[in-house]
Amino acid sequence: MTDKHSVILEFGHRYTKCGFVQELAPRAIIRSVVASSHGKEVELASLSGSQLDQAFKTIIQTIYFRYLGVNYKERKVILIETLFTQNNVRQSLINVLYQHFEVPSLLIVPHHLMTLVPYMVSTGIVLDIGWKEAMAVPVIEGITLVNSVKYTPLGGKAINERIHDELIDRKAILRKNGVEKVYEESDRFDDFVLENIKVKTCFIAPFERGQLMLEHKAGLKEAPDNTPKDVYFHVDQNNTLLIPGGLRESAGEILFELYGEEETVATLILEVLLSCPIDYRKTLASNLIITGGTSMLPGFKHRLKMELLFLVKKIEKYSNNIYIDKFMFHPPLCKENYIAWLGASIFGSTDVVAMRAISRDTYLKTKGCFVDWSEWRPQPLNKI
Amino acid sequence: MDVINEIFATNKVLYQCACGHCKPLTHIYFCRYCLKMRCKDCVYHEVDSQYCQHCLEYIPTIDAKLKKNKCASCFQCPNCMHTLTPRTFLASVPSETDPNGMTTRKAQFLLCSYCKWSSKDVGIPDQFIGSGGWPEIEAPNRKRVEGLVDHYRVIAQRERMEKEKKRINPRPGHAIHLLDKYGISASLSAKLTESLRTKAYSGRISSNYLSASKSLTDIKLEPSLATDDVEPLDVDTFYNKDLIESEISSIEQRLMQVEMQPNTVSQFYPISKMLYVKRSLRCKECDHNIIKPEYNSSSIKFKIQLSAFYDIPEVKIASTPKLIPHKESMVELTFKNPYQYGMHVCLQPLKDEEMDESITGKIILPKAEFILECKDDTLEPELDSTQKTRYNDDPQLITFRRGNKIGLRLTVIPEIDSGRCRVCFRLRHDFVNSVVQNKSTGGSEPQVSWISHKIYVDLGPVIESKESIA
Amino acid sequence: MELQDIYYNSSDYIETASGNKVCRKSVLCGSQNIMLHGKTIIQSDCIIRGDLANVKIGRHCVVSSRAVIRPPFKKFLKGVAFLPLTIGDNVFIGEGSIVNAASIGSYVYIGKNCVIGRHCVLKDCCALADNTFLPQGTVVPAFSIFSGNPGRFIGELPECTQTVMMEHTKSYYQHFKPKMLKS
Repeated sequence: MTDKHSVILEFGHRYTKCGFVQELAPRAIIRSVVASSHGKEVELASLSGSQLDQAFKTIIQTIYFRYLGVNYKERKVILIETLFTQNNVRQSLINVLYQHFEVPSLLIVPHHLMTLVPYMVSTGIVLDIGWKEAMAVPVIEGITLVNSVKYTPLGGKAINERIHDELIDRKAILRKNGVEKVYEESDRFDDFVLENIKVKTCFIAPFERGQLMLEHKAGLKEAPDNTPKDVYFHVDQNNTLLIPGGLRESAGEILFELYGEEETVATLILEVLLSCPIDYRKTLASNLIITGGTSMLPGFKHRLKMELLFLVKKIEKYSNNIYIDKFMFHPPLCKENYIAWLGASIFGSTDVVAMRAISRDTYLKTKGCFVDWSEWRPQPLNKI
Repeated sequence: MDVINEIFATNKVLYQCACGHCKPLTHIYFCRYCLKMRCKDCVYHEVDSQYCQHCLEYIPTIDAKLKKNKCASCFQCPNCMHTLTPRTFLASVPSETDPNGMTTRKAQFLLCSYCKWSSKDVGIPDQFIGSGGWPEIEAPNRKRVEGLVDHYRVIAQRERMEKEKKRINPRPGHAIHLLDKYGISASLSAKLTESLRTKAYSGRISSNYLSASKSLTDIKLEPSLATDDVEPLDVDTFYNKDLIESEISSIEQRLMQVEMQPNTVSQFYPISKMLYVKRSLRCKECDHNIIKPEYNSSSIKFKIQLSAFYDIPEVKIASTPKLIPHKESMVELTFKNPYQYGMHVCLQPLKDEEMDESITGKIILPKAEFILECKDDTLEPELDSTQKTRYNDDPQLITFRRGNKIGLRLTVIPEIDSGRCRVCFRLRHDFVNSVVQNKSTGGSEPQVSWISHKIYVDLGPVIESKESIA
Repeated sequence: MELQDIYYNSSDYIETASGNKVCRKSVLCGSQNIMLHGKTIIQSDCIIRGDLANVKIGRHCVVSSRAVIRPPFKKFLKGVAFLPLTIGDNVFIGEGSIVNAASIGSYVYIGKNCVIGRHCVLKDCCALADNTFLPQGTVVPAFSIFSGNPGRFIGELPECTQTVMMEHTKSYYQHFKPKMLKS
């Protein structure tokens, strides 16, 4: 084992995690933004083309010099990517790493398989709830069933939007510079503040209350009483927001509200089970792994379990085909927002990196071809 | 920040570097070996040294790696990220010699001078001076992760051995396999087939290799057990009690402590400060160092410093003219020679294929070449009255000449009706290269070469014409 | 952009033998403890507290109007003492800034309305953006730009900062010309 540990990078839609192999946690989790020429911050996800290249160069340079403190040319890189990484983003990142930074070798690993590494299981459903979307991926004996992957655009971003909408609906009071007024569309705070509101005050209500809120929304019943208390939230020095108690429990409901054919976080798992072979359904349902920052909201796991138990009986589509009455979750080994990173840290500390990584020479010889993660032993395709 | 940018990183006058980016002169480097302008993107960045931002202690790279690039003695407040200062006080402790009495020893606790958070708030016991550093919290999952690392190492080793086995194993066309295939081996003598067989399998990895590595049964590691039992939400805390917002940590504070990610303020712990990195830059083409800083973290000197600011003439706008669309206006630009040798400068217009959309004005350049004196710190520019007569300066063109600085009056015609007027021209000058000797003359004479740079000048907004174009 | 000429009433400013230009409206307490090393400009309504401790200001410095320069104090067990304040050469201090620092290096740019807390140390060639607040004891390393409240590292200065600041302060001094009063 060489002394120089490889670098692990994971570019999420909202947060980027970076660090070294064989460490217990990433060195830093930073936001995936770059400062544009006007001084404002731009999200990486919204860029494309040469701007994206430039943005990657800036953010990787910041990561290497501010948080890692190593030279590019000395360390191999392991890149974690999700199943649905866009091709242009991937190509841009590979080009920037090989050509501009001249890393010695690069290994791309899939996010869902890395999540399974710390648990030592090879069969299970990985449910990743991040910023942009929630995705459930079934893996049976190490083989990913790509056709059964289900996803829905419910994530941290959706909850933020819901908080903003509810603040308007519930007519929250905003004290701006000593003057009280009702919160309006134009008062919209930037993402950072909404995220802090979510993290500090919101939680996922227990199942029974969720049902009450759903019925209230459908107009069947009155608003449930015994709501959580209101909270005074200090936005900055001049602005204070009084967050209505009802918002605290109802913002997270967006993850579980069932509207017709649309998916909720719970139905994702059930859909995955439906589309998997019958023999494995029981094993899959007993090996559920939850990752992603949004799943760290208090009360999430318990609610998910109750929803699953409820839906599998109530909805005909499921009750006729899935005969499971127990859903088992693996307890997390570390904080959920970096489980995949930890898996890559363990995976990368073995000889595998040396065996499977694509070195820079190979990349240059084949003029930049990289195969998809599903290849067993990645080799660059030869361009004809 | 704007004023700082105006002085240090103005975007009024931009120079184009070899990779195509346009940067202000202060952000460009000039490689004297390949005579090209380099910006931060076309050089290699390397880690030169690491030092702590607060105690300014230089830490060698090896030590830094061990301590995870963190300073041993400086800590950050988990609340506001400011540096914590240790405060000493006299604490009374039970004395060792006298069982009933108390002696005083100096003790320290950490205090943030900005938000007044202290290590006493979370219950960290005060450290006695001389007893070592502050204790580190150990991550709860360390043992499990280390076990996992060993477990997967063994699996990976196995995989590698299998791969090597497969590689060495069936050598195609070996005699014994062909014989087996066609069933001839029975007719051959037993001795011959035996020797062929051993030859065929001699390439197999011997069994003692296998026994050297750990087998999986040595490491007793159980896979994770899934459980039905999930902790329900603590209804009492969330529904019945008041939430004081300042007691809950915000997301930035949580992400500062990645391993713990404390939910409440009472779980905060001082964070070790990250080290700063000093970079050295290297030209991509000729591999020479462009910037090499000193080891001393407070020093502003450099071992090697090849900034373009010291070699390339600096162009500045002396006065912003009134820019009326499609009408001529006079602009005064100053040229300054920072180099130790005098320079001949001539301005050239761009060729047609070099034009791009951002150029919105036309500049009429003088045909003549003019001379810039070298930089001389000892000379008092105001007292040198003979300078004007030394060079026959055309007073229409050259507004002033003071030491190594010259002012030029140029005509500009904005070609747009509104927006910012940008002009571009090529500055061509000769460069006396004191570093690289001229090989043809065999030694001591420095090499003189002509270099040209593309310069973009942003003259400001065009005054929109109120008259309608009939 | 070249600096434009700034004119001042020649009756408002005192010019000393070593080229220092001090405005009469500014308050210099304890002037025997204040040392200006030459070609320094002290603009109107400044307060320099030389009565508390020694204040040394280097060459070609510019202290803009309404700035306050006050040496920091240190609490000892037996009382309070004021520590001397040194400011290096070619330093530009913006308008309205309050400087309580222990020492400021050379070639430093300080923006407008900054507040520098006690015992801060600013190394050579650094910059503070406008409206920065540096809490007590902050160390600003060389070539860094600090901004915000509390002051945090936001960027780096280029390597040629020393020469740029030198030229900036020198040309500021050259363009600071007395207005000839019409009489």
